[in-house]
Amino acid sequence: MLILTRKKGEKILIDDNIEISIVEIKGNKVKIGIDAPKDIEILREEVYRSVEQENIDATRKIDLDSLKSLKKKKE
Amino acid sequence: MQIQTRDFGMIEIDQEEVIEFPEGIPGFLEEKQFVLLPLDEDSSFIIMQSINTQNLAFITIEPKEIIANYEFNISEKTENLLKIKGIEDIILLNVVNIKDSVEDMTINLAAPLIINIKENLGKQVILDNNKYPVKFKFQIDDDQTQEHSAEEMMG
Repeated sequence: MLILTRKKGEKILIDDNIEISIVEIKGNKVKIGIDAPKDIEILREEVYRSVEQENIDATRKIDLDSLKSLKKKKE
Repeated sequence: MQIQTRDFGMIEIDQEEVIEFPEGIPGFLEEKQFVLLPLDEDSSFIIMQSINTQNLAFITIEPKEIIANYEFNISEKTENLLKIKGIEDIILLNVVNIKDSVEDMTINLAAPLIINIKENLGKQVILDNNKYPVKFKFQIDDDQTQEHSAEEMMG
């Protein structure tokens, strides 16, 4: 892994189309700005992990009869 | 073709019913083919069953059954991946999670499944916007008279 030290206002370039800037540093929080093409997906890591875990948990087999009372709403 | 399902045993499905998830879904990136099986005719729930793995199936529900005004932007990348030409091409499904009993049911509103029903292409997108929770508590209420609607916006 590449480790770089940056000050507030400084930037990092990745290839010629992604620009990461350090917007603000306050205590243990860093505000980061990312300029990237629209087709690059940017997510906070913990959000992705929580969806991953939720999917894994959701595959557990349950008794489906308990769900049958919920009927489709009339359009 | 015949497939083994988690909830309905061996069933016969049409090749045309198979929905491709080119990127898999988070947690199951290798699983790229699913089929949608309604729990029963008038049920709100739809089982999303993996074609290749019998024990991999999700209970899902359309967001319009859950909340009003479910809104988010679909990125250009997703539009291209799923070959979406208009809002009428897609349906939305949200993954249902039931821990021990129906009373503790939660619905993942943060990561809707977008399915282009004309092209049979799907993707689970993640809305990283703090607006919709991963665990949205939902109770089955026998007296559901409230009006619900879902509006999706193309981005």
